[in-house]
Amino acid sequence: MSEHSDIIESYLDDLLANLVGEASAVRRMLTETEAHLYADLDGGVARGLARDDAARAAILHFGPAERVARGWSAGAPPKPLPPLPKMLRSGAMQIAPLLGVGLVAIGVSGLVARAMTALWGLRFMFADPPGTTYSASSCSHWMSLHPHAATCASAYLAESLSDGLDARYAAGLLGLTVLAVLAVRRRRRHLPLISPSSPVTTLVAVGVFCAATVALAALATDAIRVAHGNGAGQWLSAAIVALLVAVSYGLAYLRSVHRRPALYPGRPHGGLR
Amino acid sequence: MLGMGNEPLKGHLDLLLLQVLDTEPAHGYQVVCQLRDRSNGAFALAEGTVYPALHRLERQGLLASDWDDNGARRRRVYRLTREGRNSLHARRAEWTEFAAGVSTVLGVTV
Repeated sequence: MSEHSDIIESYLDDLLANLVGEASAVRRMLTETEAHLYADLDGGVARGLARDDAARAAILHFGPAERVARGWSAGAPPKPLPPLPKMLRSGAMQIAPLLGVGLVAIGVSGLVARAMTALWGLRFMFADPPGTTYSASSCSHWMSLHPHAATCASAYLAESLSDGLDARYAAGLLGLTVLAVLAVRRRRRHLPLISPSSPVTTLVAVGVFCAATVALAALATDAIRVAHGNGAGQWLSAAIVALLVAVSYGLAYLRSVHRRPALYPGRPHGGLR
Repeated sequence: MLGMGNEPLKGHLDLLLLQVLDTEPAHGYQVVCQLRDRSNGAFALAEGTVYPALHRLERQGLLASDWDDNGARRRRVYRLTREGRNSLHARRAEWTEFAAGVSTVLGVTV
């Protein structure tokens, strides 16, 4: 068997980097090329060439890697798309952790809202703009639910606090359930409980939570400017949490980019040419 | 003899590959060597172009292939199928007719 040749191996690396097609077909082309080049190298050495010269001659005979790959890839059967159910499942598995984190973030925003209520009061958190009037039937309903409330407005605030926070806590619990199901699934497959998302998914998460931050902050600002601060806290509490999640995903993305090894030493990240 | 290069060969590569494999099954490197030897070095084509052609002929059902794991390196050995042999006979007849016509026009005796 012919000994390893760095020149041929480097050529095979270049060829692999340029071949586009179904994985098994690419592997076959690469295996055949390897056998061909080493057979030609052996022939060259048998004719009296130095080993490296024989390797260079074999590559010269075979043709430039990019051109060979282009010719092969043009005629190769296209890489088949995965079946629709598999694509949907794969997409769902990418989105599910984001959904779980998003729901947990809503739950956490409920805790933040609770803290802000304690600090700045119910009016800042849930009150409607000044001058808002309520129907008698609504007032009657809220007063029946909160009999200790002195006025219709305070009964409304108590009800808003209860509804608003309960809904957020429920979302948080649902998010924890989603993440737990994913963790159990990963454990059953003997995978690490937590795996970093793909860079693309992480970037999507950054975009989604940044957009949420901007939208919620805008609503909070609007409540402060137009409604004298009434109800601004409900938006502000959510905006703070969305911002924290966006920053966390941003840092995770930067870490993943710096962690990715260069395929070719001395070339930039992912330097496949 | 000077190598002819790729361009004039492109239209006839399939016929030449089928003809080489009509003799006996062979792997890619052997096919290239036989092409070169049988043409006295005239058909010194870029060897990397042979594999896409072999793969295409196999997809068309004219060739079949199997891995040969007996040697030092794994090789794919190609052989002609029944359809491949029929196709070879048809293409060879076309070529003979075409070459005879061209020769007649040129006043060349082959």
